[in-house]
Amino acid sequence: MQLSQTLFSPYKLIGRVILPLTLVAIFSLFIIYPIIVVISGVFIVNGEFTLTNILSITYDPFVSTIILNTLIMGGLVTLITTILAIPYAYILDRYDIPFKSFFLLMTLLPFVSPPYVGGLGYINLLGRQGTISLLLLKAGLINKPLEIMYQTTPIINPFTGSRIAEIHWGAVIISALTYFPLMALTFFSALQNIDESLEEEAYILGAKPSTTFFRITLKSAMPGLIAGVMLVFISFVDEVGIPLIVGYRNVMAVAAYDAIVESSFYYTPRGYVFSLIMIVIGLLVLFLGRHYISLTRYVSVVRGAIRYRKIVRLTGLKRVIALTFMIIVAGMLSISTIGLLLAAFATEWYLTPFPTKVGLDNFVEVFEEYFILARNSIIYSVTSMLVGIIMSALIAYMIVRMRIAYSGALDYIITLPLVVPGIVIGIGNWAVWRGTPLDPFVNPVTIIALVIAFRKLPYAFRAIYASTLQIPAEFEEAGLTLGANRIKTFIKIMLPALAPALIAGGLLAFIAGITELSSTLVLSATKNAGSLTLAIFLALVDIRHGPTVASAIGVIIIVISIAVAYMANKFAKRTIGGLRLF
Amino acid sequence: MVNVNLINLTKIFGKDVAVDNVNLTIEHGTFFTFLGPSGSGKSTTLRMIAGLEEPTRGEILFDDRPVTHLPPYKRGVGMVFQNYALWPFMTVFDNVAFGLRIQKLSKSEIRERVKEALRLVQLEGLERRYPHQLSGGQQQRVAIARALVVNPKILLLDEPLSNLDAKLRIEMRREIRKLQRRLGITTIYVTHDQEEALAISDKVAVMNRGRIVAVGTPYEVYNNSNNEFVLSFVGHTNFIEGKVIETRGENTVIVETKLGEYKIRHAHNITNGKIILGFRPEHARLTKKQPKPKSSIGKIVMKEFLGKIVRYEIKVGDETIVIDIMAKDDPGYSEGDSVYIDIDENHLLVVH
Repeated sequence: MQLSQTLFSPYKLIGRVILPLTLVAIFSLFIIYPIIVVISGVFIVNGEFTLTNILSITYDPFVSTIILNTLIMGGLVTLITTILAIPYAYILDRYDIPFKSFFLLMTLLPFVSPPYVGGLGYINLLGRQGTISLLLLKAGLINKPLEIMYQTTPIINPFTGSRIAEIHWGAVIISALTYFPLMALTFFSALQNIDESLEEEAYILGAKPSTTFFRITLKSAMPGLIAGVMLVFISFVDEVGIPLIVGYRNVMAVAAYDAIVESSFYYTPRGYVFSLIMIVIGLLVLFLGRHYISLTRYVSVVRGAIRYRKIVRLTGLKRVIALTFMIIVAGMLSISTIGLLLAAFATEWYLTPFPTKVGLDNFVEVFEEYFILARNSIIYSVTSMLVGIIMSALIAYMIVRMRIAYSGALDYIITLPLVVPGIVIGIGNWAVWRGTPLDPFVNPVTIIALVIAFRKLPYAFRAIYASTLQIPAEFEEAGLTLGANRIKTFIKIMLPALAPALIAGGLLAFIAGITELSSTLVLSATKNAGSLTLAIFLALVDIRHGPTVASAIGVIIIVISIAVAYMANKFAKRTIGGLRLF
Repeated sequence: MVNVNLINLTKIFGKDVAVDNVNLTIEHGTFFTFLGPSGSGKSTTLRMIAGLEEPTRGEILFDDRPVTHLPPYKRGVGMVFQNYALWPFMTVFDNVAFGLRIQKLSKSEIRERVKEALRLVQLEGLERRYPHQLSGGQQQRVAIARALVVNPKILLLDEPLSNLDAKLRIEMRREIRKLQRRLGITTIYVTHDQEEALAISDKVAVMNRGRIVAVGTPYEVYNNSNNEFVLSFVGHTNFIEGKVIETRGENTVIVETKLGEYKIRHAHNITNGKIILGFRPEHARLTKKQPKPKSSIGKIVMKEFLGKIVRYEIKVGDETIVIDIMAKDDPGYSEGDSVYIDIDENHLLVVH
């Protein structure tokens, strides 16, 4: 009786069944289905099921080396960032030190600066022909150019003596510095959510500060730390930009891309095999991450009503050590910005430590040479923004208000693009849309815009969903009793109440869209389909342009992102108290 | 002016029966209150009357017209929510004008009626403020004005005072009562505060576990109910065991209790055996002399001075009895003293 009533009311049928299923279907077409196509590409060859491809990871040394490289380097990057981030965030949260807001600002860097742009900055200063290398040569401290960014260390199997993997230091160092802020920020917010009385209770019971730190503080912040670890690891696995900047191709994401390019000449399943492994890693992170992130929520719920963090005043040697540590870390992070700005404004810079002439020539060149790609970037990010706002508002509303049965699954599906590498989604879409009106060779801008928009949906969704949860059901119920129907209450009450979050979420999706690289890389089949992010790599290999023009493009992307992030944060502060990503 | 009829009204959430077969008539112009602890089903009943919840079974009639499956926006009710649900992005004026704009009234009429509604709740001049610029009491008034401005047939209030401090709560409940008298509007009110319910209502329905356990005027509910839940939830009641030892005439029995032998009139259908008796704390006195044959002596375990009254807690055997004495009549016993309790026979109830 109840069921039939529910199903046969047309409004409920549309609201609870047709609309959500349609939205999920569209989303799945660009995210889920391509992932399935990639997976089946591993197991089904010419219509027949085979395990040959997946077993190649055991006997093909090329495949296994690349997988091991990625895992080992990813582990190393995660380790370095963790070791740096724990003291950094702790000092930031607990101690009274100067330049605090600057140190905090450094942790927000990755939200506005894409990894490969930062990487470009590091190379400008630390590369063979970078400022530091040339200064050291000049001073006679070294007699060969600095090779640290290009060196690899082999890893030998002690039993067979054969080389099984390698560590590329340039990729590791740049990745560690690039992802450090992610880890620091995640751990920092976990620390901020700890109820101080937990620690005070330990002190009262006679625990030393160090005991309290390891037994209470670190344990309470552990969910945040684990979330950070997974975030950094998955980011490294996903990364194509940084390895490409240092010219290293033996990691999964890049190798998957290379294999797809090769596969237009001869059959190779490697692209699909690498993709499958990256999908598995992503899904593991998603399931484990959910577990820990819900724990994080628990921790923040438990804390007392209003908390005033006691800021400890550091004196003497401790103060010097803490400050030195902070300055060194923040200094290393700033190197990339300095390197980027130096190159962007250099109109003459050849084998000297510093530019010999500065000006705006590089920026002029960007607009003359890459105007279409800049236009594409705007198309891609505006599409991300619009799709993000509309889809997120509808889906969040359905999950929160319509009490649809499968809302948990919906939430999972939408979060999926955060953990499945863009390369994989790009490869999947390539396979799905070849020979259709959305073929990357025929209509590259449209397919790229759509793929980016759905890939970046979680960014808008997280902000909008969080805000929808906070709007009391009574807001709309009051409207209903006053004579407005569901559609009117949605438009006149829900949308205005959500407006700040919609704008903030939309702007986040905009930033995510403008910094996107991996899917664009795969899907830009024609010369004019890429975006500004791709232009960086085109400029790098173009002898007329080189790193200076590439850096100018990086600066443009960062400036747009900062402006947009500033606006997003302003709106977000009014609803969700600032931005929280992931 | 509308009668509200609830017929076999039932709401089941999953496995929980929130409202269990409620039958009730609320006469037009009445100030009617659902009183009960949290989870008793009173808010769910109100929300079903508003149309915000669909009943699992049963009917709701407004003046014999079934509205059970009408959506809220077709029912013509006004509702005030516990958290007021004022839209924070709208001014006071826009909040109040919302319902009128939905009706597509002319601008001048909207202006007139909003003004009138705000005058009714004494908030003239605050039209341009936003909700967060108002005090709790003012927000409450805006919520009432917003509900009343559309001339609803019924006014529904869901624990509207629970977010206010004690003093303001009493002030606002008087104002709500006066407003209701002036407008003569059928008003249905939900609260868990028994004092509030008794003070404000024409009629009260006490709810427990989804059922209505007593309905009547506040006086009837307080004094005449012999339902155990009502007696303990509405005010305090002392319960004692008794044994019928003698039947006199048709409706009178003599009962033996720990506190002595008492004569009970109006004792329908009671012949013998064990029964439970109840009496209010104010319906007994304390004495040093044995007041009735077989009275047991008790010991004062606590004495509280509450201003107008003095409250004694007396342990008799292993039961604790609460007795309230008007402060001016306080015999001045201390904790530890041994005293007898003498119950006013006329107020001794047989509990069902």
